[in-house]
Amino acid sequence: MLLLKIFLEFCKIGIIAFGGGNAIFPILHHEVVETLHWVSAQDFLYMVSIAETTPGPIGMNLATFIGYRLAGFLGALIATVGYTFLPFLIMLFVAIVAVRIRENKIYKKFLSAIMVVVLALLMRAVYLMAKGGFSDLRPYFLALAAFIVFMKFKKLNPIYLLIICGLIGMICF
Amino acid sequence: MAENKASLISVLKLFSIFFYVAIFTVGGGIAMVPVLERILVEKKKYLSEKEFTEVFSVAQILPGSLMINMATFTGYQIAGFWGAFLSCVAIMLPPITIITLISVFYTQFIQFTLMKKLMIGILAGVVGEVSGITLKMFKKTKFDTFKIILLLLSFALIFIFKVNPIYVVVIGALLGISLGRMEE
Repeated sequence: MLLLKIFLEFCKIGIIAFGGGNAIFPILHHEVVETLHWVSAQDFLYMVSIAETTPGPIGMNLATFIGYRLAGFLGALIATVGYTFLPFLIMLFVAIVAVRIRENKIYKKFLSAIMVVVLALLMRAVYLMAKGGFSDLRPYFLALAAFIVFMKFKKLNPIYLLIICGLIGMICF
Repeated sequence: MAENKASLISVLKLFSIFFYVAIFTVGGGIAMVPVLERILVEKKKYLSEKEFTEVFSVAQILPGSLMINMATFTGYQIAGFWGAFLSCVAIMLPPITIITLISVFYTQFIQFTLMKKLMIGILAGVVGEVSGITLKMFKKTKFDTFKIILLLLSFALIFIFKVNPIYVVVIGALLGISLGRMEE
């Protein structure tokens, strides 16, 4: 019964998560801390700080975390699948349609405007990441260096660049 | 038969690409965008530059985590339903494993500040790479008067008026359909 409740709860949270992990903190806090009392406010903050600094989408990390807390590994699995389930179905449906209407005039107009809006959304993502994750000036310099290297060396695997940045962070931050 | 085998191989390749990328996604799904662009477009040539921008833009404006959406759309585009499904499973595995391990060794992890420094370093790299991809997309855009105004409007709504991005997307889509022009 608890597993079913976890599943449905994270289905709901997954569908209202828009604009990435940061946007779901308040919603998730309201649901799991204030309404359901699944985790304490302090634990929630701790979980957010871990979710932000471990690999994976932040919302998905939080789902796994809370699910594990409630019902062990099975809970973690159910919460994560629930979080993913509806967005997957919606996206799949849109993909099926999009692939078939690529030549449609309205879709083309829509897409060409959306690509411009996405530029602004990308700038917002960069801004939020830097604001939320950088404690002092050093990460900004590292980010600038990564930007230059990324643009200059087209053949370089971006993952290697990330690993190097991580190591530099370990030594210098 | 040969076709089945080819699609099986592409599904497996997709699975390994998304699994690999998910391990290095720190700071939200956006981190995977530059990495995926290089792998899917430039190295493997699974998608054209234009298709990639389409996938990314549509994934960005739908509900749900960017990463799930990108995996689903890319997977479907390249290898149909199973491509979409297994790409999604692949991105779920690293978070499930890592967070479960952290939950098990809960208290020990708090003191682990070196880990935090590593992650801030990676995040700085992500910020640099995402800035790079933004600049690249900006350069590729064929700007006309409408697009310049739309870009300025989106900036103002997001950064000055702090409007929820979902409304900015809706406004942009409506303006585009009614006033915009098609790309070639």
